[in-house]
Amino acid sequence: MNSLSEITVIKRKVLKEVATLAWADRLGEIDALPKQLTKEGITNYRCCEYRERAILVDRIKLALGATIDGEDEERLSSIAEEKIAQQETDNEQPLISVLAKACDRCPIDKMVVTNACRNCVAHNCRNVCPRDAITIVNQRAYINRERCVECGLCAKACRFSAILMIERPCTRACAVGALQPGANKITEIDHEKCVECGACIEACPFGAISERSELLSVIALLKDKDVSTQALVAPAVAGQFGPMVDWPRVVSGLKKLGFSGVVPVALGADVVGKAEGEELAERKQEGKILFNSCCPSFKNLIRQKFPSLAHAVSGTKSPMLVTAELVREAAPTAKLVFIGPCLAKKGEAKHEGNGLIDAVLTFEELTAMLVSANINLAECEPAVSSEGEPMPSARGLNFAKAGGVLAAVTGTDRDEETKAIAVAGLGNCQDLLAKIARGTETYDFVEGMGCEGGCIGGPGTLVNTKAAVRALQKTTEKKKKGVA
Amino acid sequence: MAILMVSVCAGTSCHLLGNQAIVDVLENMPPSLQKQVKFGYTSCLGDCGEGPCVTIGDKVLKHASPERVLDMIKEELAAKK
Ligand code: SF4
Ligand code: FES
Repeated sequence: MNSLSEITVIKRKVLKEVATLAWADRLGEIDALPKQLTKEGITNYRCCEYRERAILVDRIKLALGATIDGEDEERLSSIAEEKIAQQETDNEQPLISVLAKACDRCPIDKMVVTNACRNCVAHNCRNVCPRDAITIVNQRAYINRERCVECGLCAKACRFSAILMIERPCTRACAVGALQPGANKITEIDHEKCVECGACIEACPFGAISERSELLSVIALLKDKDVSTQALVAPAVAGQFGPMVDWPRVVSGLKKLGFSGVVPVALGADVVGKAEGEELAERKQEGKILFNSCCPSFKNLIRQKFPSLAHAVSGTKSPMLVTAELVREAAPTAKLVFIGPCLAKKGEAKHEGNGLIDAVLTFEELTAMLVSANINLAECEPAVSSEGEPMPSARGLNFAKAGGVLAAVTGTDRDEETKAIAVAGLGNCQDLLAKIARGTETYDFVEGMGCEGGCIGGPGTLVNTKAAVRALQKTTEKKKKGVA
Repeated sequence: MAILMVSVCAGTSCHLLGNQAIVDVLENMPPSLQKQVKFGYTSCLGDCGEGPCVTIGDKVLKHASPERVLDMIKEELAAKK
């Protein structure tokens, strides 16, 4: 989850206010929003109100689904107008952007000698440096930037811990190296490399990286009484709306919001678990390896960095798309909105969705929409499930946490011979894939998850992983006992 | 020893505005406080726009932050003695 900094809260307030205006058809008044928000107290962490407002303008643009990369000075109200006219979200534009005005241009140098340097006699730092980058200048170790390869050996060698290895939080968070300080030292995203995991968004303490939202198109769908809009809710939903909100309350709250149906994506996960289990059996016979296909960041990583392993990705569609097909069969004209913890699903919906998914929302965005519509899930009458309504199994629900896909695919009667492994976190995925590509490690099945902890650790969640795991366990235990 | 009742609003608005951070500190209070405080949840305190809201004893704390909640708990406990 986004750590609950003031910045997370600001982002949520912006989403809520934009949604409020959208519900009331008052987006024409949006130009006044930055000022209104600073008046309400969003001023405390920037140097001046003007910069604060300029940053808010960018946040609002993203909430409207617009990009902020260009230098355009267009008014928010005209952007909103265009976006409404456009209806569909413009998915060719980058999903994740740097708010240049918010980027604090953290130091770029990785190795820093501090005042703690005592110019000792041993000079362990100098001795250990493989590049002879360290000299003594003014009674202190000095690192020659041209030579330094940022290996960190000097920092480890110094007995006084006088050398620090620091890295920008964003570049450290990005396992695929898609972030670099660009012009004016402001961080830039290389969209060719970015796998849309969202780790950088959570990592930046200045809230300078954020994503575009599809709020407006979803609100437009929900307001249109002639279309039926179905919510497809990811298994990671457990516990997301706090300790008082269970699934039946989520269902009734979403219906109040205007969805005509609410479908658990864990139903699709059940289908996927079985299908990938069969695939695993086949591939094993052929001596081939199988990767899960449900995590879009993991798949993006393979596509971009390990094309030689692309064949290993399961041919089964993801639970989101399988569920979408199920819903589509029953309701051919319905519009489908996927709601989950994930940003990369937006890309998956676009590239692999065949137009099945009309919009993707995060739990965070959905909550902002609920609040803007004055819906309190904790006070919603729980929905009663109708007779014969399909219910997902505990296995399907467990797709939400790391290891859950592996458990479903390899099954309970796991063949002794099956060599399977689950990795979570993009960096860990990358390390494992490198070993597999090199041939130093072999497996029959690999579950790769871009986020630490699996989907419940995703960037669009509202509660921390621990609380979410607890809630998920409670739900699956109830399932096993046979209570709905 | 009288127990101080603390109740965190778990309504959707307070949830959006960050009640999770408060739940986190309450769950991880030092043992000395844990003995004197019992916390639970309510579904709405009626001040949704000014959340996160928490009641501590019979006082309502709006715009609550983890620090302010802990401070107020300590104040209330001290006042009781
Ligand atoms: S890959 Fe992840 S961490 Fe790196 S830039 Fe993209 S979203 Fe950010
Ligand atoms: S939701 Fe917390 S006061 Fe209403």
